[in-house]
Amino acid sequence: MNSRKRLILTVVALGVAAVVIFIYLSLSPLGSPPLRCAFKAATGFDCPGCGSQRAFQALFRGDIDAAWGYNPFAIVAAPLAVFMIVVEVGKYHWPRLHRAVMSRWVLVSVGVLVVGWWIFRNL
Amino acid sequence: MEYWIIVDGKAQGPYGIDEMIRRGVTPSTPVWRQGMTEWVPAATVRELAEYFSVNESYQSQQLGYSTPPPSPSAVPAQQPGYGNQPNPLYAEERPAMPSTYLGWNIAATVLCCIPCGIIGIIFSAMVRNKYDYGDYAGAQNASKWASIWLILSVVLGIIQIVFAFVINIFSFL
Repeated sequence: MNSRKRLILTVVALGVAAVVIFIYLSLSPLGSPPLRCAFKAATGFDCPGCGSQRAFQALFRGDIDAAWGYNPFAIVAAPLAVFMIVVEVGKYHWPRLHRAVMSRWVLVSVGVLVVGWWIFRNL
Repeated sequence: MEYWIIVDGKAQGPYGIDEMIRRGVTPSTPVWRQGMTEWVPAATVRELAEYFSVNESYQSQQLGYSTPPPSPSAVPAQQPGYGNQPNPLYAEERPAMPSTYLGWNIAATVLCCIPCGIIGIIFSAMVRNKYDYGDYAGAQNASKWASIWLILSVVLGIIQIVFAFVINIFSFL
């Protein structure tokens, strides 16, 4: 695939994704019943991501307080995840940044935070 | 070239190579010099590794080994290294770290509502851990598993979204 085709495909894919996300976030609230978490449906416990859909929809409406209330972890993790994905996709362009960002400290902290948040919210 | 070293848990330096060796640098001592992204075992730095192999061949001559030791300049970069590191290339020549898929796994954990993403995050951390210990094949393998768990959580996430939509449609009828 040449670079121009790839560029066009990337732009189209990002455009489609943007439209889908826009429509999805505009549906507020989601139909009834909302997209239920399989883990929650099966066990009754919240998973680390439960509430993230409502949180992002609230954020989209500009209601930061409500978003924080639904799932603060999702609000913090989203920009972090986007940043890490960009770093990883561009790891051949910025190998030093990749190694610095994906340090053992960061990786272990993320693991501990996710599991910690999961336990904490179910207490 | 001057190096900083960590001996007895304290960073010291900068020292020239002779000074470092006098201060008890071993092949596994963490060292750093300007231009390096992180601390690395001394044996993985080419000019220090050469020093250690000179020393070693000297010792083996003293012990009367029959096979002649390779001359230090002829030691190829892929020569098995020291300690438990299976195949440490010199720090300057290490392969790029494999993808950790950490960002993707965080996104999957938050968005897909399937806790598989957490297992992916654990494999992400293993990628770095194995890479730091010079286990490049292991890092590659952990990277593969991080991506497998990522794909699994995305697929399960999509299945449950489709499932939820079907339920929604039926509830409207």
